[in-house]
Amino acid sequence: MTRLISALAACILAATPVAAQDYTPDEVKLIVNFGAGGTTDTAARIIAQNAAERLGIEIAAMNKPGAGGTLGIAELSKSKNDGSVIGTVNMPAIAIIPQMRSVPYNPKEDLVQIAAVMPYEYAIFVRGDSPWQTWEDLVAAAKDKPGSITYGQVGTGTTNHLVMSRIAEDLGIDWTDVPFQSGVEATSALLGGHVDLINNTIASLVSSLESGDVRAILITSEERFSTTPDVPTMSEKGFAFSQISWMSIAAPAGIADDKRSLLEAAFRDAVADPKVLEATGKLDLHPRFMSGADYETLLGNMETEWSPILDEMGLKSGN
Amino acid sequence: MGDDQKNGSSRHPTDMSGGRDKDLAVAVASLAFGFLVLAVLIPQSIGPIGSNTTILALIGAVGLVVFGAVLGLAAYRVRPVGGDSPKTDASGDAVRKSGKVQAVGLVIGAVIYAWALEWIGFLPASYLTLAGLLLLMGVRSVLIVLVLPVVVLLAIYLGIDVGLGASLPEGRLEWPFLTQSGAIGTEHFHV
Amino acid sequence: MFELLADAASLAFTIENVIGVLIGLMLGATLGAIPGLNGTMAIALIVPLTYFWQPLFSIALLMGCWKGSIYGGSITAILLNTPGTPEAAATAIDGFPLQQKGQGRKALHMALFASVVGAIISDVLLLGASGPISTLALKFGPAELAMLILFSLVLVAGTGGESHLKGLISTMLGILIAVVGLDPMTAQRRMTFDILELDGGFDLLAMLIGLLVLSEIINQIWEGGARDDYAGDAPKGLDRSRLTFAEIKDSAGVIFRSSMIGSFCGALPGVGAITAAFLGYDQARMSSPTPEKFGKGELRGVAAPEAANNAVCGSALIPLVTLGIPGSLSVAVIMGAFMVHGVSPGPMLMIEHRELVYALFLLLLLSDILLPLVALPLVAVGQRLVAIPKKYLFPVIVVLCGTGAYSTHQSLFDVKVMVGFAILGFVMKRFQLSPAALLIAFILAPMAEIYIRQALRISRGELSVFVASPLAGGFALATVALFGWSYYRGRRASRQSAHARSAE
Repeated sequence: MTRLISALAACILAATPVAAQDYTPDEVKLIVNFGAGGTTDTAARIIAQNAAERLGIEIAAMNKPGAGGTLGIAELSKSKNDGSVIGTVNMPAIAIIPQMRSVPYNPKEDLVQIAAVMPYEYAIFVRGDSPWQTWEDLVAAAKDKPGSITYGQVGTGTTNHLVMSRIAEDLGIDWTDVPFQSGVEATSALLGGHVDLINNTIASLVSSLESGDVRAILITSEERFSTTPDVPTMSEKGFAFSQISWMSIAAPAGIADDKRSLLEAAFRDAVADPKVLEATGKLDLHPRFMSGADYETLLGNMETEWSPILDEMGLKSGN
Repeated sequence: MGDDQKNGSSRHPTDMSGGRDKDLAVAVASLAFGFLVLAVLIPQSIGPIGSNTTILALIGAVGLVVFGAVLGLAAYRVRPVGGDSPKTDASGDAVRKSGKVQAVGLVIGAVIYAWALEWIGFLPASYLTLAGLLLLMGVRSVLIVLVLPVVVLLAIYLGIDVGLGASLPEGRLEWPFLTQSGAIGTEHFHV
Repeated sequence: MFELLADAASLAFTIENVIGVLIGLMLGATLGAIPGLNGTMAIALIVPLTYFWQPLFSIALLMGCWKGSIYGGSITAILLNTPGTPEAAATAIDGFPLQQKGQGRKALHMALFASVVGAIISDVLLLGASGPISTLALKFGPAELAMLILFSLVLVAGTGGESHLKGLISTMLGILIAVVGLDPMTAQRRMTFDILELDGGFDLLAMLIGLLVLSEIINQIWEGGARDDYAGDAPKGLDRSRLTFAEIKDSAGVIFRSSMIGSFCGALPGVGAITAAFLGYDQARMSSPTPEKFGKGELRGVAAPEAANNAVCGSALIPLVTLGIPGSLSVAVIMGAFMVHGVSPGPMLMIEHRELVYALFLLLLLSDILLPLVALPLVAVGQRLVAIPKKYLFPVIVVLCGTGAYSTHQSLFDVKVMVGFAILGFVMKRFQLSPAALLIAFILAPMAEIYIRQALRISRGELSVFVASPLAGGFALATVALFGWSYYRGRRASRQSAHARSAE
């Protein structure tokens, strides 16, 4: 049945391989390091599928979720480096988590970044009926009553958590973090009035933003967001850092350079394809390209940037 | 935490032969495991006792020790039933004995199966396991032992791999003739 | 409202949508009924296929699949004591004894009836009262949820065992097993022994397949061997027991209460169908004049969990359509399918696509009504399948357990976890320790831990947070009352049994 459907699909949407050289092998496994069926998974598959068509190969996605994305990456790092296996990688699993606890891979030595394909977009949200209209209101309130403001974070050691702590430290304010198991639970706690604010991905809250149930008061990622064009970013408010997290495509270390550049080019073109952007736009996700080399530099910077903060927060592993 | 403990322990041990011994065994095991967790597992693989992160484990371990002790005392106080062992006919005993052998064989088979999946892949491992278990269960027809696994595995393969598009483990040995292609659904959609 | 419903109906009731519901139900119920395989897996795997299809058709199929799988689990729970899905774990407690008494068909029909009623009640609530219910659900913050979970723990701790003391030992074991993984607040490793796969704790599905399905196979072989016997020593010949009107009437109250419990659980984030089923079961047992009959083949013990777990489906969509919050894994996957088709669940959905939302609700109701059409043939097939001698049936189930444990997360580690828990479950059964009690503690205890610690973080250590709101205080009070009442009942029961013994 799968063959039939894919044959059918190929007829309707004839793929046009643009690669001048042939990529081998012509069947590549993509280890997706988060669960099947969600919006991020869908976006990853859409991008990978488009890249595969450009290379004239088949990419078969296989989900390997768990342990903050580290399970899938562990499997990727153990896989063959002949170009037959690639995988998705989330930034914390290679730049933050390895500093917190031991993982069975070395992000720098065991993996090669092919391309970063999608930045995540984050903001600080308050309820629609919150008295704080602007970022300044919130900071003033936090300074007024130290410790009284609670924020829901989506997991200890996530960028959401680290950025909120660093903001507090920069401004000399004190707010209480309440860890939740997922963005979903943090969002319900915000809507129900159990915490005052949350730091979460914008994509998961678009509908509530439009209805006015929640309000973004500061974009913590680098650029303003189309749904909330008036909300300022962290850098506009004078912060020297922002919440950067990407989904990237990586391969096991040792992959041949020509294969790496073929893949990189295919993913570069895929995330620029209007068809891809339209499909992911429905999921409120916005892919963008960063070269593998640039991303590796960024990762190195992130790691050194977060290291002292993890240490201060007592999250750094002993060894 | 429903009925009180007296009820639980007095209702049960006298009910069936061997109940008292079993209760004592459970009591000893839960005491031992509870102490093991308290003395070794919590300090070594969680953290210093009393920190917030250890509280759940503490509750479980202390609970095991306390309830184990109560169960042990209650079972100890009950007089052994002794003497009137249940009457069973010889053939029943034989069935029971072969059942125990088969059950132990099944456990061993399941353990081997879990590791075989990893090494030789789903189809060979499942075929061998199925055929082996059928023999263990006393199926003597060569035809069934050889053919039933084929039918079952074909159904699983068609349903899971072809129908739902999930991949089944290929095994680290990677038989050249069994390597599957395709797998999970990317081929199903295009943009 | 009427016009809206009419518009929605014309959108919903097309031939292809009806076919979608039917295919989904069939697929879900079949996979749900097969021990080891389950509907969540099926849904996650079907989603990529749905990108090609019409939005309503896709969603109809996915919802049908989910509903079907929750029901389907009850079939094997009753016939073989091997719950096909975790949601049916509570159904096996009384369902299987009924089967052993030769009343399996009756139990199966009761499970179906209760499932349909539970689902309809929940879907009607979804249709009519999603607004108020979501407002109520939001009132449950960490402190309220902590008290609710504690109440649930007191109600269900020790379920399924003969001896309450041993039930408590199983409960403690479940708590200890739940400790394994990362600390929910500090992300420190707890008893993971540096096995990366254990960072997320033991996988619930793998554990369940081992603890409830494979262990039962081993136990049945241990007890009776595998000669020419039928599973569970079921009486030979086809079971023709009938569900009577009087029995339905007798269970009506239990079914209604369970449906409300299930609907309530579904609307709360994180409280899923398994918990609902156990709560439903225990409310039936606690409110029964003859609680001692439970666990030995009480029909109401089948009706209650089935009404509750099926009622979760409809109300689980309430937070999704009103707030954009998926309350469970299956709902999150279904949400993905919505979004691919350009429909973002959330408050705007109700404003922008009202008729679409109501069309969806109507399709849900349709799936409830069509369920018997799919279920009755499946029940008949199931009854014939358990008439296959164990020696053929059980080896096949062993391989299905391996397949199911692997394919849920495509993880070989999960297969090992499954086998490990099968051995544990078997040993527990030999010593009359209830695996079901372990399971429910494994699910509820870590939730209690998280919510209590969150609430204390919010209140900065003030314990009064647990009685500060009327909801939290209410549940705290109810917990104390339940504790006292069960103590009183236990005393009375033990006095009666002592009395009975001295009279002998």
